[in-house]
Amino acid sequence: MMQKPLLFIVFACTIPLLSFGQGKKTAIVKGKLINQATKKPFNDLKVTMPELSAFTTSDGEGNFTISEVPFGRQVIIINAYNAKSDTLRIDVESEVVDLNDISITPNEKGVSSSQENGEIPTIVISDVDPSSGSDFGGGSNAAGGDELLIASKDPFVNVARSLSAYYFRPRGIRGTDAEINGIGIIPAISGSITWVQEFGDQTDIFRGTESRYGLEPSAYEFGAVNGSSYFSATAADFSQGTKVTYAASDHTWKNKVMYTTSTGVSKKGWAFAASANKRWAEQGYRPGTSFDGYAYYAGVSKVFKKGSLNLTTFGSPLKQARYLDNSTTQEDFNLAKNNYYNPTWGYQTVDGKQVVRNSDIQNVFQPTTILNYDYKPSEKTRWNTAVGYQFGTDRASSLDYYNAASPFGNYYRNMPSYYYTSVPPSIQTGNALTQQILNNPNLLQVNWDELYAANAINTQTIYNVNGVAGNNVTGKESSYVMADKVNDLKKLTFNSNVEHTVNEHLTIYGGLSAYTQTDHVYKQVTDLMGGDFFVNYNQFATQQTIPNPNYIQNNLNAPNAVIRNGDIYGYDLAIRLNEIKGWGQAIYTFDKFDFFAAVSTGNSSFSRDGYYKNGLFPNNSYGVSPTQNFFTYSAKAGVTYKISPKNFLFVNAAYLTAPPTVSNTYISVATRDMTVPDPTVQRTQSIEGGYLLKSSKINARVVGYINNVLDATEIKRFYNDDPAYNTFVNYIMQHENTRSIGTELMLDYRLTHAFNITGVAAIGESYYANRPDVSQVLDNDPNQQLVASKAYIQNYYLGNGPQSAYSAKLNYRGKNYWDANISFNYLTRNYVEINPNRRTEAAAGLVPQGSAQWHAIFDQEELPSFFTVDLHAGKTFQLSRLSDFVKKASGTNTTLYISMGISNLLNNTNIILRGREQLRYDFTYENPAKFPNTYLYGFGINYFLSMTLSF
Amino acid sequence: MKTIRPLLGVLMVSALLTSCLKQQFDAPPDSSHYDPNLPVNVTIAQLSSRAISMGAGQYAVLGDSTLYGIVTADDRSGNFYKQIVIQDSTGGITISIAQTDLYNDYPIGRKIYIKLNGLTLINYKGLPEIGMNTSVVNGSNTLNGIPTPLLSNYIVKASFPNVVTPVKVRIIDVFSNPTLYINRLVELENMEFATTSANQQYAASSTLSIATSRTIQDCPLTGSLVMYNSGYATFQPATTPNGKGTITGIFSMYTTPQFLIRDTTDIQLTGNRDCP
Repeated sequence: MMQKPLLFIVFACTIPLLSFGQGKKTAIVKGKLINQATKKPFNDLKVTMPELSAFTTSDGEGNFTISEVPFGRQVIIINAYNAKSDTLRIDVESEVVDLNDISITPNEKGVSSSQENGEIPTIVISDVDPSSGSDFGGGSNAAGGDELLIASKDPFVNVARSLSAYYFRPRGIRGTDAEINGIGIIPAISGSITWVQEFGDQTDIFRGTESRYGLEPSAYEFGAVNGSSYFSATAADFSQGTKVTYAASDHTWKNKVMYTTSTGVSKKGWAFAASANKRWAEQGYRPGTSFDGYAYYAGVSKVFKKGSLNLTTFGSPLKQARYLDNSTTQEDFNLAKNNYYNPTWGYQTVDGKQVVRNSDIQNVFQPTTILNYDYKPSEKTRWNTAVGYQFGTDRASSLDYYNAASPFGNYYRNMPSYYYTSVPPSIQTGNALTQQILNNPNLLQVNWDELYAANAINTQTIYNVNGVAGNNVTGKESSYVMADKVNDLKKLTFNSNVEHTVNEHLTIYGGLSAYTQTDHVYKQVTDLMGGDFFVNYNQFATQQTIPNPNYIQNNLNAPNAVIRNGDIYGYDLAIRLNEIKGWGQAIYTFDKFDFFAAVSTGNSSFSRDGYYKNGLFPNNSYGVSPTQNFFTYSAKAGVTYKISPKNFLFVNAAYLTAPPTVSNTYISVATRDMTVPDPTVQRTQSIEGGYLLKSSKINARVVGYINNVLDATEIKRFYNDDPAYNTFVNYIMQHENTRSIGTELMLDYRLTHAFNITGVAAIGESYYANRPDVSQVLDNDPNQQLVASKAYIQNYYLGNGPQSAYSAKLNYRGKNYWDANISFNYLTRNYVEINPNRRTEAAAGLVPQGSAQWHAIFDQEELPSFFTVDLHAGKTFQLSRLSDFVKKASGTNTTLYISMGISNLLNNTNIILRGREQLRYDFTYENPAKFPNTYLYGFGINYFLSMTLSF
Repeated sequence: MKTIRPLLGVLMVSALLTSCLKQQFDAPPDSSHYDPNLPVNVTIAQLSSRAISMGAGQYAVLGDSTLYGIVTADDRSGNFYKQIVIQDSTGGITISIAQTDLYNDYPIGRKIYIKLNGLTLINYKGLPEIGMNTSVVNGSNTLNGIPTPLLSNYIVKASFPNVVTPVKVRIIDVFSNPTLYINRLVELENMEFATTSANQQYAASSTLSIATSRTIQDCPLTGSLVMYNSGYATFQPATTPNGKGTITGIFSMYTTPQFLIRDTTDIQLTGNRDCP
């Protein structure tokens, strides 16, 4: 039943080299595997030289390299190791043997299952730890650095990627591009992607075709300052096969089942592929969290002689109960006796039983459909054109309350520290509270029954409902409700990009992309919690310098509106975004030098369309706002000097501009269209350069980089306790400059054929490089204008995760299809995110400079460095070889891959991943302990186990 | 294998569909009519007279006893702040709690029990109050409210709603026997705002002053009383009426007698003004 694959072997150039070795001559053999049917690179194929017991796997671009090949006639076998071998015989007569393009005809079975090669990602790329915190909708706060989406052939990038689980962010900067089948997938509003939301952990499907780090040129996109990822995931990309996976873990989700099947390309040119998974946990690692996620993928391809037409659709409905870390202080953790204390949940009595209920539920489903035509008129030209459409809602629930006390157990006024830091301190009361909470840990959680009890007795009459005189409604007014912040997205994307090889030295690239997007954002009551209605009032508008009865109205078009289950309240508006971009790139390749240069230019615009006439801002909340337009332009270029085929020197530089985000342009987009003064594009200057060594035994990297981000705009929103304000403010920092500078060192040494060791040091420093211009706007008072102030934050570190990381990893890839690795990681120089308002003259008051209190106010806390050990092991079982029954039932290709990973083997539960200064500050007594820093602790020991059966 | 593969697919799909999450949480049972009927062994009048006999500025830590009361004033309008007033059949007393929006838990008409053991009774400028403990502010003892997490140790919520009928008095009565009426819900008849206080905002804006005193008097005149209105009250910008009628509220003390309304519904000056 096996169809013998056709092999075209082209011996194009064999470059003669200086001979270094004195003894036995060895060579490097390399080549590139191309799928004969799709003309695309064939990744994850096994390339073995059995006589040398050497093997490797083709990477995302089909490339493979085998080193230390003795001169003379050699045999190479290309295929999945569970399929019938296809054999190549080569004569090795020079130091580098380049086999160039090797076309592989996908056979009926086999090649897809070659993906069981030990590269199945371990814990780090699975669903991110679900914290909350975006402005609209549920979008996870992707500060975990989960941006380097796919594995690279560069060991340094792979290590950096795995360290992102510990909030290590390579080069201290955010910014990657990613495309699927040509369609950009980085969300426009948040600017950062979350693996769980966009991909649903479909590891069989989204495996990555190209991964670029730093300023490296991509074949598909201009790329961002920290690289790019490209995923080709059409049905034709998958060979025939079926996989069934079960995985267990004890972190975000506990169980995962996944099923993937694909037909491969039929003789008539059709290919179909489908995948679905479910991941779930009734109780996640952190108390009160749960996970209920699904994902699906379906693709159909028609392959023509000169291209393929592909329809692809995928989505990942997810409902997860999350945690919140922006209020949890060390005092909370100590009182809860748990570093994973989470304030968002509590018990509710349901049918006489105490049931866990979390107030912070994300519920998201935003599926994407892509139609693309991949045109390959010749071996030299590839032209992909794609149209994508994404729609759906992202919801994040929270407890909302009107004229009621905070329902959260760690509200600062209910904590012992509030009494310890009061003036004069109430030690006795603080001690009594400490004892009370230690004896009743549920005091730290939401008491749902109490909230229902408050709603049940609050009978009120609302007069003149909807502004109609005499239209009075009497009933139980909810003091507490559950409400969703909703983002209803519609996004249409077009992309066309072309790659053309002009001659052996020059390849040119170019593309055009555009999208139009509407985000309808609003708040919606989902549970009145026993009450009859809620009222559309703005409780923060009640204390004004010049009172006005309209101020309290969220919507003057329907004043005093009574809100029932499912009704919109608070704010209701659409944000419309449009972008068009073009780019071009040329890559020159010569014997000693490689050059590239790329430019990109475009226009981004957005506007606000308010459906509410806000009582505080009646003149700039309702209707369509003026459009904000930003012209962007970027360029990058680089040169690589090939000292020898193993030694490279390179330097790349870039200058990029990017539009400001919607939430950093509108001062308070929920209520009005007022913008920051003179919104500007953000500029980035980037330079990287260094030395790379890629020899048979040693792979090394010595790289330095500098990234300057200039003219950034950042708005922080908080309650300003400064007596001059004493209200919610929008704290606008403009023309903020930050710098990330550092060095990346890597040594990958092959000890034996089975063992290699990788050492990585990423030593960096990211800090504020100037004193930004600060202006403050009162959030709920139309009678106040911008107030300029100064924040002295120059040379404070950015709070963006550990700034330096060191890792050593021992890899084993042995006989009988075993693979294993152990890594030792040390992460250090992690700083808390500072409160700029605490670096002001007002914050110092009359505190003597240099005193202990002065240092407590102004010094930036460095979080403890930490050490972890991570372990991974896997083995493939050739079931067909074990049992004739299996062989008869499923053919010769049945394999079982078992993989296991343990993270944080030493069970260090004192790892602080992130710390933040609270934005509130005690301006009366200048006591920074009144609003202490908040922390997020990382997981202790956690495991991942997966079993994949493929046939 | 041709048969196994679709079978597996069906199995997987059904596994995916088996979990259906419930959507809405059920409301817990409404316990607002429940009265635990705790044994009561002290009356508010006993505590009130003990406080008054201690003298202004003095306090005492209370022993193991329990009282009950029905809330007669809460903080819904913002005229009371971090305080409620309760009343039993013998008298009224102010309870100080370190929390805002107390009316969600302790609205007017709610019956509560207070387990006094460890709480503090103070005579604050002539007003008997119960709270957590005291601290010295500006040289005098002031009461600290009961912190929220400790409330369950001291206050037990009972039935809602209950009606407390205000006692009808004349101004001359409360002045002649303040100890009897202090902290009690009283209804004053034949009342008017003094001419300087009528047709005024109840209080100046909180940005100018935390509270404003207005004067009320009866007609025919037997005496006048200071009405203390918070600048943070929701009715702060409303205008005091010019007419005549009844005024209900809490008779209070801040060295000298004063009067606090719960909301403007306590002011029923619908008749024509009689006195200049």
